[in-house]
Amino acid sequence: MGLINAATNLPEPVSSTDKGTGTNTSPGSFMARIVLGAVMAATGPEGCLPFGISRFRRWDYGTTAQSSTLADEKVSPALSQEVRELFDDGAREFFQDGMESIFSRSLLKILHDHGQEAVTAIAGYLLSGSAKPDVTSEALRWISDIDDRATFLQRWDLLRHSLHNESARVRDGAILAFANMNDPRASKILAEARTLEPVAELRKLIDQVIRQLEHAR
Amino acid sequence: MALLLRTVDKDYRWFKEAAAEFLAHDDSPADPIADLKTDKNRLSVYVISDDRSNLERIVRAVAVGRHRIDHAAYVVFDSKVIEEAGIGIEEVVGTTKDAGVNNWHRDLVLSGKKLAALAKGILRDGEEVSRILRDRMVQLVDQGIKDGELPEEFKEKLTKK
Repeated sequence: MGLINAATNLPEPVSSTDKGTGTNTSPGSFMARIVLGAVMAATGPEGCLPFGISRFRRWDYGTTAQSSTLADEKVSPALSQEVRELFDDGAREFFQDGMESIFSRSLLKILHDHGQEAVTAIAGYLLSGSAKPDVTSEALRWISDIDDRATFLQRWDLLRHSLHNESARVRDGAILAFANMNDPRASKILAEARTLEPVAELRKLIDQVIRQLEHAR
Repeated sequence: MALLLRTVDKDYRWFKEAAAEFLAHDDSPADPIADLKTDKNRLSVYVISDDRSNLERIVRAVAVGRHRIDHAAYVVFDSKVIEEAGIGIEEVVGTTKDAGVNNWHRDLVLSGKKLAALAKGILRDGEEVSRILRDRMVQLVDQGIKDGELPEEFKEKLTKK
């Protein structure tokens, strides 16, 4: 059974019983395009997510359309400002694996309070190139840890995009974030990223994560 | 000669490619030094056995003391690195919650210059930075509690993301 859409590397439906409820024009895919639009608005065409986000289907993770409102279509200026300040403040922190920080707690609160709009705002900021790689790397790892189906696809795409970031630190965070998600459907994405990965340590890390994901099947 | 292990906070600070330009000039990048946090001019390392059978237990003992169970990075290097840098090493019992690990603990006795030499030596002659992923760490902690190597109090961390 193929778990990854061969054309997009996007998650396929979780179960066959969910199939048949969506199309490319579903509210879910509409929301995905809105998210993409928000990111493009914030970053310009160079910063947009370079993959077929519009091919997301509503059934993929179910609750996207149900839990969202059109109020999520755009990011409020106040939230954009909050996200920007959060990441700027985060640049002054020293991050340690396994340790919470003011940054991580604030990030999780924003995600909890604003859901999809928060992910859109964060993606816009990260893709703008303004964020420090250390902070971005840290953010990706925490973003991958939340248990929120409504934002799953957004977060997945942000991680996937970040695997190709110019900073090895960001790529490191994205690889570890996929390890956190522990979803076997990431194997192909990681394998593809490995073919382009110039840093030996990250190729080794990708191999390690892929082995973990194989056991998670 | 012995193999030494140092846990580090961020693996990316130890990527050899990023260090190559510094090493070519007989120098070290500054970022890795952030992972060599000294206390009273001493730095904790652990001796690992030749077959590395105690490696995961050591990394687990250090990592389980953090807020939550997470990926844990470490570097392994030969003791010749510290000998070449003139760094002293002393047997000092460690303070982890795994008593079986604490006898493998050593203190490196450092100065500022020696600290930079240590970073340079690890990057030049040490192994590539490695990680125990969180998924594996959860298994290790769970097993450690069952085996009585770790106290029951860490059970709570097994359920905390």
